[in-house]
Amino acid sequence: MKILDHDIKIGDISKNHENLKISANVAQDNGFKAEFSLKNLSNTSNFVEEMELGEFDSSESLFMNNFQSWGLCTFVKPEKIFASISNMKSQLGFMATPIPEEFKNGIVSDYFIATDKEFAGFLSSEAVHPYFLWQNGIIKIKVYVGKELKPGEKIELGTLWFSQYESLEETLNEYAKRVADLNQPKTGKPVFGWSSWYHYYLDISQESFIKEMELSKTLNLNYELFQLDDGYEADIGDWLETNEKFSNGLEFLAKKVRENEMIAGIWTAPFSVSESSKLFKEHSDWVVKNENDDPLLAYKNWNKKIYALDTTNPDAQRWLENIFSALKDYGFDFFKIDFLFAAMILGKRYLNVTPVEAYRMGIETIRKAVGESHILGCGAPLLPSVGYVDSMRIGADTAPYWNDADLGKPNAKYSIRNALTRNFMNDVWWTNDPDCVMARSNDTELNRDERMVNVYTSALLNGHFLESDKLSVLSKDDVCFLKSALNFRSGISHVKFIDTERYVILSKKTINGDLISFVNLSDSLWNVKIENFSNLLNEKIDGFFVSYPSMKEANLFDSQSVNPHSILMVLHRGKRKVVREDEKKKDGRDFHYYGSDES
Amino acid sequence: MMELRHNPITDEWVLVSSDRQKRPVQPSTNTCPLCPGGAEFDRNYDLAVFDNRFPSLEIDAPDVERPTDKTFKNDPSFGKCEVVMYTSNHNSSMSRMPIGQIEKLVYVWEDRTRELAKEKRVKYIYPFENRGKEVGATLSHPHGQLYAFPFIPKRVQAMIEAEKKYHQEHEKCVICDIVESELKVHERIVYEGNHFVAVTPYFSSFPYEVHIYPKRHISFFMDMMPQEKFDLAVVLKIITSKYDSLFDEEFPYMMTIFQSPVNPIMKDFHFHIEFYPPKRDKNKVKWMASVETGTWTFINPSTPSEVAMQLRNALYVV
Repeated sequence: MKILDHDIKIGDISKNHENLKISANVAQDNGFKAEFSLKNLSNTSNFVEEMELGEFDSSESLFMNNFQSWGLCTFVKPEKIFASISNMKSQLGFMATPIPEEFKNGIVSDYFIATDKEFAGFLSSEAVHPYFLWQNGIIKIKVYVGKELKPGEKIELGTLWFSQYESLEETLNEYAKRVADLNQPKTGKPVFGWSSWYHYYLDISQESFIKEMELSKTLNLNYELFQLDDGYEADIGDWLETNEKFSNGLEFLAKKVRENEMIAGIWTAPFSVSESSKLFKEHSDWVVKNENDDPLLAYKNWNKKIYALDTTNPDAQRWLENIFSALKDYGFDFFKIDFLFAAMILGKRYLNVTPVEAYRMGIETIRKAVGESHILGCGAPLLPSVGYVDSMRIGADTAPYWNDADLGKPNAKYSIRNALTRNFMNDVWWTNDPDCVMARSNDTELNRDERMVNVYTSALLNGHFLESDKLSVLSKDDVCFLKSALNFRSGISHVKFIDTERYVILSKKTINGDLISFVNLSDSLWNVKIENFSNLLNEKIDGFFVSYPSMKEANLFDSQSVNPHSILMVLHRGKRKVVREDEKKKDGRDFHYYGSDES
Repeated sequence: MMELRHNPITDEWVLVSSDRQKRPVQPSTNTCPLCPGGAEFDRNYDLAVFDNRFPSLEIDAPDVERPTDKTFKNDPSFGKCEVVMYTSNHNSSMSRMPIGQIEKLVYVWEDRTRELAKEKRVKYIYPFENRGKEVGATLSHPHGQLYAFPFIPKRVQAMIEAEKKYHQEHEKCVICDIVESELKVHERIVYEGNHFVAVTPYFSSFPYEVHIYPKRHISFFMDMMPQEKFDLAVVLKIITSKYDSLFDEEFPYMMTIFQSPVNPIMKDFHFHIEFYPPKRDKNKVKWMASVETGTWTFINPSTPSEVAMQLRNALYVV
């Protein structure tokens, strides 16, 4: 491994590059930890783009990560990917990467990367965007700055942790903890809620929303959260103005949800401004610009051009704060904020700050407005969000169908895959949101096995558990299916990677106790033996195994088949340690309190 | 007034306990005496057992005034009436409790049986649950009860006699044979677990009566291995969940647990659980009326095999 063109060594290393000085302080820390900084040595201001900090050798397969919620996190063969996306490179927009130019040169993994024996990850993204560029068998360690440095100005580029590993899963856990130690994350309680998106999509109306809420009571679903998703607003950017389907406005709906003793949740895309919105018409100067000072296209969606709010503009900041203060005043207490990458696009802003700093200013403004209310980030740059959001979407949108290309587009398979590969972030950086589950057996292309993977994997991983169905079309069986899945929440789960499509989840203390689950996302049968994973299980007195949901006893040594697109769940039980505490009351009556060390 | 009175006509004991009239009736959640912080609990708990504030039997039973006429007989109300708290969650029930919580309850029943049997005057330990107003449950917080009798109750005695008679005739345990037959015929099985089987008996007294039998001949909770305790929890969860699913309501029932007498034990006794739901349809109650109460003869208006099918098809949450 090389740092600033030197073989890695403990101590200070530096390198001069076009009047810029890059410095590194390298220390040993279960591997190496390198703190980087950058200084403008010239007498003139200097706009800095990407900087190369070092390099190391690649392996044939890499564990790579995209910068934002929807992007992939998985093992890839970079040569294959590079070839397969060669005709797409010109189409890669800011949704796919904050640095589209780099994909012309290779394949990018943001924030962290692992070869077959080495792991490298940045511990924060406070000012610059850190990434790794695979190019012709070499991994380059890079950061994107995107700011004009004044003469003599120095900025911190962040800290890289580099380690050789035996277990990638354990190393990811250690990496997550190191990031958490540096960024003061917010982690709250995962919630069970309902979202309007995956049945109604943009067709949600005030009447449907209220009807669903009433039905949830009849079905005794006991949601903690009822969340209105996209479809209520007059336009993207005009968040307080509802369209004709929401005649009584947002305050009315928030009040209804609270009357039903649930948390009122609302979706917005606060850094997105549609070309047709009132906001854009009245304040076109509040968006990020291109070199010609024209509004810069952030992305296209809703059949519209979407521009990015310039979160460094004080007037735009005030507007943003007022929007969220108003929503909070209406009674909303859970804010799903989407398409957040928009605030981090490369472009001209009011202030001379980096795109990452601009993003953090935007999200900090929202946090200030909502106080301790819950923020769920979505479509968000991951590392700069640690400490600002309570929860984070960590995969592509799910869908009522199984497969699509692994490009961050909606589908069930890769949404679940990311929930598994990014599980190490859950309850360390934030509460993971693996996206909604759908319990419905109609109006879906998912078969029973695929629905079970979708619903039970989410329950086991114990991030948010948001359901998105039209409740009136759920069969009684669907409702039992959903309620049964709730019995696998509240545990602590670790995921072992077998390969890109097969995973083992080890769960402790779920409501239904400890279990081992085998998730097969592939198209072929997977034969497993519990025995092969017994070293990962807790010791239990008189331990035994019971398959779920058949509840038939399973043998440690028997080979069991995991069907394609399915999950095999095996409860691990044993003799219970029930302890009794006796108490004699003043009236002479005996009381005995019983407790146990597990569910 | 608290004493045992003997009925010389039927040769059975009656528990006379006039204080029980003072029991509370269905308070709301915020006044529930069984919730943590309620009248009975100044602390939180997971599962708990405590002496009933209004017992029919107690260890320090008051002396009784003997009847002057020798036709009549009475005795002190020696024994124990305990309340068994399944969970601190007021809105739960056996059907909604996690399997692990029911499994713990099985361990608690075992512990109570072992503890109470240490008192040599206790002859029979009987855990049970009354669920729903229809069967006289006075508090909705999920709980059961447990009576430690100083005698073997009449119906249990009848079971013992019947088992003896059957054994003499067939040289086998009656319930072992029932289990074997039900598993062979497979008409009345509601749910078959690894170690327990739930059936609507051939001879059901109540329309929705279900019995849970261990497949192995065991007499007590103490005989159960960990796998059996877990399986019993699974079967209890599934049966009560199916009950709730039948009419989409909290299904009322009496759950009665029969194990061997103690002091001395009777190893021939086959442990089992009987559920007697008082319903014959969604809005119809099966009353314990003159025939049932007066003659101990039940008129069952349904066919057990049909009910078994109905319950087999009923969905459940597990």
